[in-house]
Amino acid sequence: MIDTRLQRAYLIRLVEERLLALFSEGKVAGTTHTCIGQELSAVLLAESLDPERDIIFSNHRCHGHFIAWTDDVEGLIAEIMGTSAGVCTGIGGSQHLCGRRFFSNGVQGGIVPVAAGLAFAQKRVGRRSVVAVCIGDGTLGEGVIYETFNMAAKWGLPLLILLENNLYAQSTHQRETLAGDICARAAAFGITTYAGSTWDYRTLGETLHEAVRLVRERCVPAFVRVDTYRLAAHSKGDDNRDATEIAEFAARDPVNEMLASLGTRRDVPEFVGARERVDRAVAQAAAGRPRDVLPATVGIRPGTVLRRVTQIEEGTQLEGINRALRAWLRADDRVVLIGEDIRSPYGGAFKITRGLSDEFPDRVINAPISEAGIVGIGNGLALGGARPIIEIMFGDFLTLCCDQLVNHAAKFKSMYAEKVRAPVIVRTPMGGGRGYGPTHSQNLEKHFVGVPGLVVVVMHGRVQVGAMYEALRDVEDPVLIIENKLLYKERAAAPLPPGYALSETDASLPGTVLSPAGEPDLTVVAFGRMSGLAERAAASLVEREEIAPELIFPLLASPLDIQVIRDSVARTGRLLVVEEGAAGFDLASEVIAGVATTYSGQKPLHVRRLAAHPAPIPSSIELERLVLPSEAGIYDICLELFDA
Amino acid sequence: MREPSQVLVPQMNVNDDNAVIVAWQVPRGGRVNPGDVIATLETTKATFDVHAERAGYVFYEHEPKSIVAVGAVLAWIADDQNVSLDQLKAANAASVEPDALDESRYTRKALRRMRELGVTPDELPASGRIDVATVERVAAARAARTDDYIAARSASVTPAANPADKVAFELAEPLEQSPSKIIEAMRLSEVYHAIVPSLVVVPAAAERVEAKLATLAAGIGPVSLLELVLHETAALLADYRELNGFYAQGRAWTYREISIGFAVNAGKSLRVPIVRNTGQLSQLDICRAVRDLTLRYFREELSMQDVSGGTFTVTDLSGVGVTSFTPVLNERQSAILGLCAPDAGGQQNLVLAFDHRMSDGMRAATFLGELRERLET
Repeated sequence: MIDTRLQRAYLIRLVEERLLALFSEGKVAGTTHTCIGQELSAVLLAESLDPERDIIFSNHRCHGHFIAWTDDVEGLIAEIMGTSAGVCTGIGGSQHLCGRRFFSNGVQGGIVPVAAGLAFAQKRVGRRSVVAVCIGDGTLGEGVIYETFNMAAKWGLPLLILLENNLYAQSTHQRETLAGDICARAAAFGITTYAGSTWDYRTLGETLHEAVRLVRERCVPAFVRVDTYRLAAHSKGDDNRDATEIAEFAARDPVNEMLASLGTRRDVPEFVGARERVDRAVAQAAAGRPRDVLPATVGIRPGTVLRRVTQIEEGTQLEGINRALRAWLRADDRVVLIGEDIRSPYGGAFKITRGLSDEFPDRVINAPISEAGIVGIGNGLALGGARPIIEIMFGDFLTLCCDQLVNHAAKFKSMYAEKVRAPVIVRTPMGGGRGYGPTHSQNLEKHFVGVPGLVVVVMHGRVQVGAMYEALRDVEDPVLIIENKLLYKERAAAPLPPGYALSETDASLPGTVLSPAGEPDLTVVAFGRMSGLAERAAASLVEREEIAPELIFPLLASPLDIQVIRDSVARTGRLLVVEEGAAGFDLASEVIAGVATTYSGQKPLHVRRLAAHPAPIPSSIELERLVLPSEAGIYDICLELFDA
Repeated sequence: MREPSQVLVPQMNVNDDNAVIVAWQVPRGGRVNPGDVIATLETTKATFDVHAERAGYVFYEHEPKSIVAVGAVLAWIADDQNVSLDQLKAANAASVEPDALDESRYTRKALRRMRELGVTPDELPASGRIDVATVERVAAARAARTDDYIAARSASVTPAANPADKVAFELAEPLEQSPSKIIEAMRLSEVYHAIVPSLVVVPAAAERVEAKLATLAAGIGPVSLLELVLHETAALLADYRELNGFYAQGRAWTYREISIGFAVNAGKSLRVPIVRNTGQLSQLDICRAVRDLTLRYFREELSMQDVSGGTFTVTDLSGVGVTSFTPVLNERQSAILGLCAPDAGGQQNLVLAFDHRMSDGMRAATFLGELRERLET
């Protein structure tokens, strides 16, 4: 009787070997990272977990984990061969799998906070589930994992970190890149650590069971180092390792030992069955067809027409956001707020969350200074069914969260073939005007508006915050909300420029349009805080020069709420786009392209744009004023545009 | 000492290019403070006061009852009491040239409009802000200017100026008219220069109209003939768009909305208040609107808004026993409906005067026929 663990490991190896063959035959595109030699780690991990309630989050080298956990050989092969029958309909391929309580993603490190967030979501609903995240020793170079170790330990998250230590990061041996001890890293955060190896797989099985029991019963993270060795190349054929070393490990490999011990009796029914199953899966996939529908985009749709607004919400934007968050916390216990310094009595650097932790002590959470980690945990919470709202203290720090937004949040829904939703909300204030200097004054939204799958909302001075948050409840995609420090004290219901009337687009996150009494002379699109400058410039233009711009403040920057802009410019033939971010490759580029590519107005089209001087925002308040767009700048360009 | 400044004739509504000086409220050379009334002016639609914007001594040349163009110089205000009108005018003329280069008092849109309309700085007021309305007014006045018009404006019309009619003028003497009538006459002269007037009359059975009014009264309370006519006419006009429009710039225009005015002349001079959006109103709403406007006519509270923007007019002379008359078309309208009193045989005439460039007799007759049908049943 052959050990069933070795049977399962052998099945994984058969699949991996077949995939390598398919790649070398040119029948599969892309890349594949096989786990030949490491299979037992996957088999034992799956064995130690509860398939009904636990979750595995794996990495680029995920086939073994996937098969061991789901047994879906057919779905995996179909996926890698790019057919619609694949577990992610061919979108995910080798590294991005999703199915039966299993996820994998192809970027090192970032999966760890996501898995921690999933664990948090499970803990919140009291399921006593364990989320296992698989990383390699190469991943120890990624800082975000230490952010996560810290929070997982501090917050008691049921996260099992399985580190497969195969000595190499791609082709580089860890003696060149790894300092100190592996387990000591996790232990430093107070995480219980374990070690084992695939060569002594029976003991490893016991160790994993013990670790899982600890995580489940005490609701704490645990760390398991599994020493192992990858017998095949990092991916496909690129292997520069010493052949002698590989041969030594191959000889010790339990699967190889088992095969050797079988000798001529290798055609036992179990193995024949496994080989036939893989053959069948490949034949099926080869006959399959690629998905004929393009991957999903964000669900939110820009507006098409305008509607007149008569009722405007009272109060400042700060009060509005606070009120909206409180209302949502009250209405939906899935809502969790995470951020730095957001609890009472401090209430956030800009006091947006003031008082909320008094009413919701368990759902308003102070995080360490770990922007990537907390957005990652937000992603995992969202993936796990919660409604996380993350505050990043200054928008400048979004650079630290970039991987989480770009490669995780924005991709999950589409990459996982719409099996999941991850509606994380990240809100953050941007903008200058207060002398905070180069790293606390920027408008970085232009770096995020081009990310497929991410909704980017830029709040301006006329946003009806309550309605906006009501609408956000129904958004299924991740949303990045760009606030502005100087808008917090502004009121949406402030008097309009004389003669102007306010309308909104019919998008669920509607843009605001301020129309003059008569026919507009030009169209001014202003993002964020620029709305107020545009209003004041417009009031002066009307009064002094009888030039009446139509003012459009998009709320949806991505996807861009463009139709009403097109309609306005069709009448005026003159467009100015104003934004606070650095000039060039900016939001204006998209607005102008969106208008120009469809323009068929009677008048010749004239466009201008105004943005910050493309250099660091100076701390000197006088100098900052020169760098940022101004009311006078808008006024002058409008005059020039009018005469164009 | 500051430069003397001009007081211009303000524009009170878009239809009036002229105003009449009803009275000066300050003697020549009189002292004013900011806000003091300098003169009272009247247009076809209202009287209004012109206030001083600065302190100083007021000088002017026009006598009361003079007609002055909107945008023209009404008076000067100077710090020096011992200045002559000629000096003031000369000072102005001198300032025109350099000032023409000073774009700061022109709105940017006014400059563009000047280019579009070919208006030059020297045609415009020499001081104060130049906006689009000023430019357009000057352009319109220039376009409308004819020799007769200029003569009519002038305070001293001499019959000799028109030798062909010399005999007639010799047999006549100037008849005193109210200021608003003078302006109305000028306007009508312009209107009737262009239009091709035509008239159709259709008799209705007074008895049946009375019966209809009685039926209505039983339902919603008393309804006057005028109110009923306004309601039914508005309904009909939707199918007769050429009667709810005007002819201009070589083509026919039709108004998007139906807002019917009704002529009132009950001792407070002729006014035509407008029932706004008549086409959208119920009979009851129309009754309320007519009564409200009439009440305000008697209280002399009709605003410029109340009397602007009519698209069609009804003039009701049934109350004064007139059995037939020719209504006179209003500016920028293609038709006007007259209501007559019943004659001895019980016939009550409906009269439609219209611009033949917009419609024809058969169409007009069909319109009146349908209207009669509606009034009788």
